[in-house]
Amino acid sequence: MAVTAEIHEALDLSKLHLPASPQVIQLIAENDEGTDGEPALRITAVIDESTDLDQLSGRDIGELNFLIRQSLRQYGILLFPYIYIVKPSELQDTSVDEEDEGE
Amino acid sequence: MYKDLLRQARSLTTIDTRGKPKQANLRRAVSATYYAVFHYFVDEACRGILGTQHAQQGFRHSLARAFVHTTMRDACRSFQGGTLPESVKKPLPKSAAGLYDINKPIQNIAATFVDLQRRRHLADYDLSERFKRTEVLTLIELAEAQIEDFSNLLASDDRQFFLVCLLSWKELGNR
Repeated sequence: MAVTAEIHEALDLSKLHLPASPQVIQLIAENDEGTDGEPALRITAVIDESTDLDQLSGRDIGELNFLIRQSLRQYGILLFPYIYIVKPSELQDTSVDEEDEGE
Repeated sequence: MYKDLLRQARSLTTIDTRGKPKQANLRRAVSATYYAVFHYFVDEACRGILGTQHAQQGFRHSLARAFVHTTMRDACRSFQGGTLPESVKKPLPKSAAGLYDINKPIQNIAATFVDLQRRRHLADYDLSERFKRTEVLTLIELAEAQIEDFSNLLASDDRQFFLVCLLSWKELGNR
């Protein structure tokens, strides 16, 4: 299943009213699969680079995830969303660690 | 056990203080976080079914072996969506709107379990998956907060029913 206009609309940051912290600056939706190969969504929530990781609140993250799941359901999208929270610098970093090269 | 696993996960995520964290450490942290929630669920369910006394520990440990990861995930997939199959919810108490309402802490921790199980699988078997420190730290914080929220739920039939479904969903969910 392609990422549809409904999915993009469900993830429209201007309508989602996500928690102020961590500040989400972009939501990216991609097709994904669950462990058994069932269709799913991979949602990447890109947060502000200056976010202090020591100050992350599990409840704020839970609310962020809940609102994303709820919005998708309200648009009739029943694919399970796997939600990844990353910083912009991590999103761009595709380098391979030396440790992974044959050690 | 779950508290030690979460502590271990946090330690692995922050152990590399210079440069990028090692993938091996992030992968083990993801796995430890998943198993923290898994063991928490199993222990809570066994306590609810058999009792919480020290003398009952052997019975709890024996029953704990019966929990199946995929069955627990399938139950959680249903509960996280805020609704249950008609055959399951038909006899359950309904709200004024005629719905069986699954409360938010149950929905949240159920969704986190589904998510963590998939990521544990990727962490252990898929070397093409690259884990990020922020991603793993948020998973740990999420798991810890949602275990706390679930623990703070008052003892109720809803809470107990969810925990028993983790053991019995294969039979119950497919009727």
